[in-house]
Amino acid sequence: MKNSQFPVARKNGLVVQEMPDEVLVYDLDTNKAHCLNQTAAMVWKSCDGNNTVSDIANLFEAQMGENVNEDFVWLAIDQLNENNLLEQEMKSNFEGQSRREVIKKIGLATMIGIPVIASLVAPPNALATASCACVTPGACPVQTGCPNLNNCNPAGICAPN
Amino acid sequence: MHLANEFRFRSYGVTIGIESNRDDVLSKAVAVVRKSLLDRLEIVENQQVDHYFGITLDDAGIFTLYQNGERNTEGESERNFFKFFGSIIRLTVAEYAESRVFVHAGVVGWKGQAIVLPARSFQGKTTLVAELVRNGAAYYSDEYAIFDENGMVHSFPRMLAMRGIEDEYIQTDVSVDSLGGAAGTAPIPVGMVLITEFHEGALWQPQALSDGEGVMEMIPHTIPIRFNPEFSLKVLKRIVNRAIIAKSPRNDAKEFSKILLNFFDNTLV
Amino acid sequence: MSESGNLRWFSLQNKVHEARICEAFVLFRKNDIEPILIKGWSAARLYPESHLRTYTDIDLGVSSADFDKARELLEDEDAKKLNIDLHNEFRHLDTVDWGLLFRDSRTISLNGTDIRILSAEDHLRILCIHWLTDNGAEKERLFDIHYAVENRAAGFDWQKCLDRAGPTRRRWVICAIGLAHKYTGLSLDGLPFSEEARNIPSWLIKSLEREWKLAVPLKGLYDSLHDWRFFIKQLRKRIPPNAVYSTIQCEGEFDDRPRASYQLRSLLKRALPAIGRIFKTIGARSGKREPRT
Repeated sequence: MKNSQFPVARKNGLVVQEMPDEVLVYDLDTNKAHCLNQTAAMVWKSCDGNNTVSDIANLFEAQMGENVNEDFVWLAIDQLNENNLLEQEMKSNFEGQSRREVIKKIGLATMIGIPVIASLVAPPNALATASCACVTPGACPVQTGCPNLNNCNPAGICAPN
Repeated sequence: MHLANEFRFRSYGVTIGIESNRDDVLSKAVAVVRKSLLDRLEIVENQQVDHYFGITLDDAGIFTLYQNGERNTEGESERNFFKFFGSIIRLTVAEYAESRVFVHAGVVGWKGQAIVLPARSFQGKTTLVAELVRNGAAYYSDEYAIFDENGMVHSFPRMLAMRGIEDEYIQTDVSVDSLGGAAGTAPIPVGMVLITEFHEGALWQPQALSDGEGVMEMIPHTIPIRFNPEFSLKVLKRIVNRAIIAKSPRNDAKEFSKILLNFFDNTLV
Repeated sequence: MSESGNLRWFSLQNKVHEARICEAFVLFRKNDIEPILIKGWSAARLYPESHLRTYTDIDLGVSSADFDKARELLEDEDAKKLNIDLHNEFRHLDTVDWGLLFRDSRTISLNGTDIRILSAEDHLRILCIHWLTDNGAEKERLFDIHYAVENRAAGFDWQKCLDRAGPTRRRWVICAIGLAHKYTGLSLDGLPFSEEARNIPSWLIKSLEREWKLAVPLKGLYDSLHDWRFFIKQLRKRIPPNAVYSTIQCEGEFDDRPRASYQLRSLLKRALPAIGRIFKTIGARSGKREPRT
C-alpha cells in the first residue's frame, strides 16, 4: 500500500553533530543524546517534507546503488518517531508485521545496514571529571552541568547511573 | 594398549572410556571430565564405548594422551596437559552428541530469547558475553551454543574462561556470580544470531543476512557438521528461520553490550 | 569507554554548549544586558582539533549594575538549563576595572550569534589567575594557558596582559605561564619574560604536586557534613592551608619567602566564618528533628 505521508525531520531544539559514518543528535528538550547510524541518518536527512517514504526508498537506490523497499525506510521512520526526531508522528506502515519479520525480509533484499538509532550515554570519565557544582547529593537536577542528572555521590562528583 | 584403571561414562549420548596406568592420574582425569562437562554425564559399566582415551604418566614425569589408540599429545606440565584433555573431551562430546548440535559460540538469554554469538577463539566472545551478563542478560555459555532438533538453545554455563586478567593469553576461570549475573536454565528460542568481531573504533552498522547467508556463516562454527551434516543443517535451518541474523563489527565490549541489548529491545521484543 | 566513544560524547556535548552559549547571549541581550564570556568555550577555541577540551558550564560576567537583574533572569526554569555561572564583573579574578575590560573586549561569531569575549591579553591574565585561585587543582587546565600563549595572534600586547593588574599579579601570571612550560611543554622561546618564567618558587611547585596527589575536589566544609569521612578529607586539604590559595587571598608575592604568614592570615580569614556556618548548619539540622513529647 503506497503511503502518502511526508515525514519531516525535526530541527528545533536539536543539536546535530556530523561524524564520518554516523550522526549524533542531542535533544535539548529532553537532554537525551542519540546516535544515528549511516542508514538511519540518510533516512532522517531525506525527511524534508517533500519526500514520501517511497521517494526515500528510491533515493537509496540513486545514492547507494542498492534496492530497498518501503518497509526498510519505515524501520527508520519508526525509530525516528520513537525518539522524537520527526516534526509530526508518523503512522507505522508495517501492515501487521513485527519489526522482526520486516528485518527478516530485508536480509533477502539488501546489503545496506539496518537503520539503527541508539542512545548515547555519558562515558564514566565524563561523570568523574564533570565540573560538578553539586555540593550535596541529590542536587543534580538543578545543576545541569552534571551529565548525570540523577545522582551525586557524597564527594559531589557525578556518579554513574 | 590396555591400562589397568578405567572410567566409562555417557554424556549427550556419547560414550567415552578413559584409562590410565595410575590411579591418581585417573582420578584427576575424572575430576577434569566432570568439570569440563558440568557433571552432565552418567557412569556406564560393561558397555562398548564410542571413544577411548588413555593417559599415561611415566617415570620421567611425562603425561601422554592416547585417543582411540593413537598418540595425541604429551607434556610435562600437569596443568596444561589436563587443560588440553578437558578441551578434547568437550570437543569429542560436541562433535558426536546425539540429538544436539554444538556450535562454537557465546550465548546469553535476554527477555526470553537467546542472542547467539558464533566465533572462534581469541575473537572476544567471552569478553562480550561477560559484559552482556553484567548488563543483566542470563548466562548460557561462553563456549558452546547447544541446540536441540527444534532449534532451541540449551545452557552450558561453565565458568567463563576470561583472558586478559592475568595475562593476554592465559585464561582465568570467572564465575557468573562474580559478574553479578545468573545462569539461564531453561531452553529458549533464538532471537538473534550476531556475526561480529572486535575492531577498535568500529561502528555498529548491522547488516541483515538472509537465512541462507546465516547458515553459511554458522557452518564453520558448527562442530558436528562433518560427522552429522544432515542433522546439523536441519537444525541450523530451523534456527535461521526464526532468528534475525545480523553481521557487524563491534567496538569495546563494555559499550557494545548496551548497544546490542538496546537494539534487541527495539527490534525483537 | 573507548577513545572513540569518548570523542563522540564530548564532541557532541561541546556542540550542545555552543548552542547554549548562543541562547544565553540572546536571553541576556533581550533584557538589555551585555555579558562577557570567559573560560570554557573562550579557552577551548584556541585548542587544536587534536586536543579536545571539554567544559560543562558557561561563565558569564556582567556589570555590577546588571548583576541583580541577571541573577533574577537565571531563576527561570529554562534559563537554569543553560548552566550559567554568573560573575559580578570579574572582581574575584581581576583588579582591572570592568569598564576597561569591556572597552577592550570584542565579539566573535558563533553559529550566527556574536559572542563577547575579553581581549586575548585580558583573558590570558584571567585564565592564569583563575587557575591559581583554584589551587591549580586541575593540572589539565594548564593547557588553557598553554594554547592561549602558543596560539596568540601577532601583535599580542604582553604589557597589557602583564602590567595592567600591577606588579604582584604580573608575577603570578608569569609563574602560571612558567608552570605551563614545566608541565605541558609550552615553549618560552621569544617571550620577554622567559627567564623569569623559568624561575618558579619551590613552595609553589611543592604545593601543586601535593594538590595533584590528593586528588580530592575542594568542597565547602559545611557541605561535607553529611559524610564524616569526606569531611575529614576536606579538613586535610585545608591543613595546612594551601600555600597558593593563601598567597593569592592575601594578595601576596610569589617570591621565595616562606608561606607561613600568608597561610595563617588565610586560615583566620576563612576559619571564623566557616565555623560559624558549620554551627549554623548543625543547629538548623537538629532543629528539624521531631520534638519529644
